Amino acid sequence: MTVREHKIVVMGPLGAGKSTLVQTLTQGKAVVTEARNTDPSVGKEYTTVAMDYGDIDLPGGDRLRLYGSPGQERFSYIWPILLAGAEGAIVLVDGSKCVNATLAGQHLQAIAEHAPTLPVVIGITKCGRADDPVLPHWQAWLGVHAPHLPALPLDPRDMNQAITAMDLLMSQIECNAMATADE
Amino acid sequence: MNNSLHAAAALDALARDVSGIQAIVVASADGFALAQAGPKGNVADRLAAMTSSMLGLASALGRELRFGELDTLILEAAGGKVLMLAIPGTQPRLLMTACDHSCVIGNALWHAKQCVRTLADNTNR
Amino acid sequence: MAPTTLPSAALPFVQQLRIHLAGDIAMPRRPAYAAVIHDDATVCWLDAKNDRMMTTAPAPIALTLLQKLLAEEHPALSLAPVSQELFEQRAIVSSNLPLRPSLWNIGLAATRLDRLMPPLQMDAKLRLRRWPDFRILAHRPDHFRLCALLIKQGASVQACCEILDIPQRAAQSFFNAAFLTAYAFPVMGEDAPVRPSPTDGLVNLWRQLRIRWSA
Repeated sequence: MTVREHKIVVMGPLGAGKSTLVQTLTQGKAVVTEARNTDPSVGKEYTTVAMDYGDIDLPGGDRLRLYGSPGQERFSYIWPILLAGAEGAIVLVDGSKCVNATLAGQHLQAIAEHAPTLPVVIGITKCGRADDPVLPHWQAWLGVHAPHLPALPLDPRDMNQAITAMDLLMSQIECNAMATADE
Repeated sequence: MNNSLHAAAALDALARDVSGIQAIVVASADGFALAQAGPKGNVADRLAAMTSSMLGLASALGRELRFGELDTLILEAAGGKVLMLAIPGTQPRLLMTACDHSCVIGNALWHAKQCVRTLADNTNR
Repeated sequence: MAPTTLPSAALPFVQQLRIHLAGDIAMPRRPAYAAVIHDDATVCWLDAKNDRMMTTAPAPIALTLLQKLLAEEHPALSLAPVSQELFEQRAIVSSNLPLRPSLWNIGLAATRLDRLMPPLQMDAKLRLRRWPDFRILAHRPDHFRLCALLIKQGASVQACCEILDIPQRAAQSFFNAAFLTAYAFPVMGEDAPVRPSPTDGLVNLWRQLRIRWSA
């Protein structure tokens, strides 16, 4: 019986919580490649320079590999490398920031370019309570840039929310696979 | 100011002393180009980012194997070789040297390590 | 006292409401608020731009009434767009609710087994124009799957049940909710052919894992 590897990539701008999400889903066992930030305009101490990597054992011996991508634009050469062979992607954006400041569009663009049929879910982090009349500026932005993508508030430190995001991604993957019969 | 003059001098010396050097880049650990030399130095920004990725992965490998900090990465290809070295100091930096096939790897490595020592000493002043 | 109604009052309430909600992007200068009227009294005020529903009576009372009325074949409701000034003069607000999530729940609750919300026929095909607000989807994984399907292609209740292997009631209530909130629009045409989902694929393995984790 052949054992298969499945790959999911977490993309998104700096500081959205990609490394955190990968750690949460792999219960703290992910490998990180971080360096101290030397860019004074960024409010974060560390930044991912290559990728985060962790895996989850699936029933029957297959494995789910999770890759967190580096968010900064100078590492954009890595994005297509990580996206190659991926079955789905979660794009995280920092909900506490102004939409334009996060360059979220760039990451969606990279996916549109390198993996146009890839199932994607958008996770909005640092949101506050999920019941708040949430982030109308984000809703408007999503309506224009990604109306066909599901978006949900997501605290990447919370396992339950991380799993919900994965559930949503799995629904996307399932329907993408089913609906391509005539393409 | 003194530091960058010393760095530039150290890089120029390296480019001079080792034949076949195509590019030299000093990068911050998070991938910004800090200094460069050599004919292909104009793509320093991309090389700096890639160098930091490579050494970031190398460090992760070193930790996984419990080998301690990996300080040198050597890549060999048909068209040339690439050396990447960590420069110790309070602000960690990286040195990347790309050499064509005319370069002797042992020689290049020795000179690159000298260069690293010079660059490391400078930050401690 | 209810505000004057506009010419679109001739349309059934659900149509009026859908026009008002879908008009979000298309008509930026349409009136900011709308009153939902029953029996000459305002049941609630809608602020589509900020996604708020403001009920004149306490929320449970207003919501129950709306559910009951919308379950009928010809809901005794009408919609009247109003200006901000009028709203500020006239509105008595008891509760402030998120608009689309509340309407969605009303749509779900107003479901009858023998028919869909008029004017939808049982064989109507719906398609989603965009993913619904995530507050609606939270805690409803069955709705994730319906949304993922209907965002890509239109399908009927029957087709959804077959493709996704879900109970008819679940698909019907989803259709009502999505239609009422104007997330879904009717489409014509053949049902697109669908490949069954592979049983050994990532998705099924993940779901098996979830079951293990919950055990």
